[in-house]
Amino acid sequence: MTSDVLTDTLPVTLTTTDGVRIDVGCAPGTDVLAAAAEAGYVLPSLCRKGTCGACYATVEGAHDVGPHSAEALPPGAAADGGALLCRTYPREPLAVALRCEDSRIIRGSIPERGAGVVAVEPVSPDGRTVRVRLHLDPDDVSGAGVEFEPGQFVEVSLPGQEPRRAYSLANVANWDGEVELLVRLQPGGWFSEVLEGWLATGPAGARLVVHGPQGAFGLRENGIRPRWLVAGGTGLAPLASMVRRMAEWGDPQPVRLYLGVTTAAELPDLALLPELAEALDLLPGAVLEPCVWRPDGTWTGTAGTPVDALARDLAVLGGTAGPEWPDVYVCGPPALVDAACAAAAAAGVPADQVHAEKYLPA
Amino acid sequence: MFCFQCEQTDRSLPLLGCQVDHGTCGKDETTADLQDLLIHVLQGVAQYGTRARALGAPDDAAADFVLYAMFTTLTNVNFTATRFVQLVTEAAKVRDRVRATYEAAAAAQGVTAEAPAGPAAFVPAATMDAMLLQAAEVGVRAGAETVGDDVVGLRALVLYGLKGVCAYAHHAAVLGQTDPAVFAAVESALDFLASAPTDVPALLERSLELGRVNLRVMELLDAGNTGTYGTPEPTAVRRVPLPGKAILVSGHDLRDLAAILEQTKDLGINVYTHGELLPAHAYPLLKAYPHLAGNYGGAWQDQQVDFARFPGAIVMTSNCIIEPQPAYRSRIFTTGPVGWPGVRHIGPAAGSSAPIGGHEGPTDFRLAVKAALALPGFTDVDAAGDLEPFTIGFGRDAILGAADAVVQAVKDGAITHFFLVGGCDGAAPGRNYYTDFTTATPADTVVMTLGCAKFRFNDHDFGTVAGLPRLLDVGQCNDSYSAIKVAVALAEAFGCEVNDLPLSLVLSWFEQKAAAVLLTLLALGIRDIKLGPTLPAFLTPALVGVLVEQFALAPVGDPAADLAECLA
Repeated sequence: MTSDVLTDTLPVTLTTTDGVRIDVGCAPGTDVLAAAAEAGYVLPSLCRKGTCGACYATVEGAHDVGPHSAEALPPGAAADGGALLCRTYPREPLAVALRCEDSRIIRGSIPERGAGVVAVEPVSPDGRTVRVRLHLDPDDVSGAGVEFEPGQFVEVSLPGQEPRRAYSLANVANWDGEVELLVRLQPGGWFSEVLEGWLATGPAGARLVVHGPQGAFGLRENGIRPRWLVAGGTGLAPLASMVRRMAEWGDPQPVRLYLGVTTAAELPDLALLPELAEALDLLPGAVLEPCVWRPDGTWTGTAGTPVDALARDLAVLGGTAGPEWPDVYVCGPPALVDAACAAAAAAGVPADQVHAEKYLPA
Repeated sequence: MFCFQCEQTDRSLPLLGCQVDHGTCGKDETTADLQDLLIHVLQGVAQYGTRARALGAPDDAAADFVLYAMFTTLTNVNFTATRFVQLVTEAAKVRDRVRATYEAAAAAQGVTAEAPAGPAAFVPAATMDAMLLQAAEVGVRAGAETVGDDVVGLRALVLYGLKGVCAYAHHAAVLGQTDPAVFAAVESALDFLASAPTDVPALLERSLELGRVNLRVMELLDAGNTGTYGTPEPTAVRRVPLPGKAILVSGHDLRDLAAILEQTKDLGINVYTHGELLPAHAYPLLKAYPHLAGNYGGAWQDQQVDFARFPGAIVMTSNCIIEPQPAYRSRIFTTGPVGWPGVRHIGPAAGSSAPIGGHEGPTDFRLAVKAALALPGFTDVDAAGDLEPFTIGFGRDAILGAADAVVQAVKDGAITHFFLVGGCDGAAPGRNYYTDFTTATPADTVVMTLGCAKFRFNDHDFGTVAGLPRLLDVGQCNDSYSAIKVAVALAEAFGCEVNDLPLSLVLSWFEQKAAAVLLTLLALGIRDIKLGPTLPAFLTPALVGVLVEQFALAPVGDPAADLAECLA
């Protein structure tokens, strides 16, 4: 019996972007993500049902593909070896190229910490984009601090309840246990309704459970070429975290942040996000360009999407001799991310300089 | 990449050296290549620097920058490619400033300004990718097919010895101790390397000249350390942690440790030393801080285990950092010349106008202090260990204070031999040699030690001889200066040369500071040094032959046989 199991278990070699190799066995009927978790490695992932795209990787070797959404794994990407590891069932030994560094793989299980809700504050004129500030309980490992890389996300749940929602972290690692999330309130959304309740009554005594940090999205340390950040809506959160981290660490790369919203009423007000405003002030030459897709008559800034603004600036750069292409970081809804990646590719930005996180329904 | 500057360099290929993807130390190809490029541009700074100085228009700030920039390229110091892109760009700016100074001075004196070739005229590319293409032309093996491996090896000996000189000189400069003669010598040596020298006797002489310069540099550093923090005195150092919040300070920099002690006063944080900071406990003005609690962990190569277990903030002040593990990556901080990608560096704030590598005033460690306060700290259980304290603090004053008794003990036959066993530690299995050697030394001998090699045997009970501990911890690697002073004083007391003393030097090397110290000992004419665990890969068999012939330098062998030879 044992030998049958061993025979049927197929070897899967996972390789991170920094060259760390992890070997796991994958039993029949088990997806690669679950097999890695059983072996003690939680790979960057979220929905674990083929819809969010967080576990996307490149796979060599025959495998079956489980049900998934075409947004998370477009047919063309699958033909090029793209795979969602939560929907990848090996038929032979697999070699998997992960999209993350080794440091983003959680050993053991996803950390969980209780948190008190400190504040829920509207940050857009329409009051529907809110900043949620949490204070994590101390734990044995981090003490009072909270450690994560800009670009990572957490899942939140109510104590004792199953449902979870994933949000990118909008602040930076700190020793005070402070966590900030940006949330766009959705009519009828489960967590939106919870937040609306706290907005109405104040969050005194409110508690959440925070699962994470998780995720592979983040800054790549590869020289001093410029960093252009493209945000759609609350896709601002991980990019704001990057800007704040760069300011705090005194990073030298020039930064541009394109922030897109549908109407001006949705546009986060920097006066209500003072830490981000301060970081942009501190970084020499940092530029923030808000873009409103459907402006009313009073909007005097950039009309259009942040992808339009990105394409415009890439075209200017492409017109110079020997352009130094920026690293492009994109976060937001799938259509915006796809359009930004396409615009970068069309302009000539090397594919390995474009990094994206899609906000897909989990 | 090609790098063979340290002891653990890859010896598995026909060409000895790290040359594929990344070094044994963990340095990636990009960073290693950018370091080669930085050294090239620094040679350009020195080409103008040495000429400007000759015209009486020295730029000591530029020379000070060179010390710092050279220090960043030592083994286990800085692994951050981004940092080297900045440093290359900054070095070119400094070079241009020195050139302008030189040309102005020449014009003022009616002298025709030279336009040196090579690095002086080099224009670094604007992007990292383009810099990497440039780096391919300027590595330490550039021109090897023309000049041969012996010349490459001697140039490497000069360069690596110079790196050690610069590192010590930076430590001294941080404590306010500089000497224009040292700046001049550093510029002169880099200018010499910029000329792509091929003359073997000249290269050998330059190596020994750097040894002499290093003696002066270690004297400056000694003056900085003792002048600022007092004369080391014999001290028992606690090795079991105390319950409570904690900061661990590693590296060599006493001023950083002093700043951390000052900034944690009355905050309920205990400060621990790691590795080469152990000798700090012997300095009166440092040990006066009651919260300088003890020494934690072993030598540098054990840090991944020791740091993972340490429940507080960790500050790495100089060499020797190795890849921070996820378990402590968020709570380790680098400062000064040190860096690791993704690890928080404590230095000038964003937008600061402080010069790169500048060291005006103590560093602000509030981030590390905040981390230490947030982290759990040691518990009562952690504090229940039973490790015996280390006894340290036998600098030259402590030893020479007992000189009369020591001399009498030798005359009476109570002490028959002295050993100086020290240098760097490392991970190589062959380093057990130093444990086997020292623990086998007879009871009527004295073992002096310095550097982190001591961690191979300093938990052994050597007992006493003639009322003195048999193991005398002289201090850090740079306290070789103190050991040399002791040797010279003993030679005077016995009316003989150092080489005639009943003294054997058994050294352990790992990186470039040790190369500088070795050159100093050779320059002083000290013979019969045993060096291990392996000889430098950059020394060809022919060069080793020269060192054996001129200095009777020998590789370590079998500990028992070597010991017998020393005592014969």
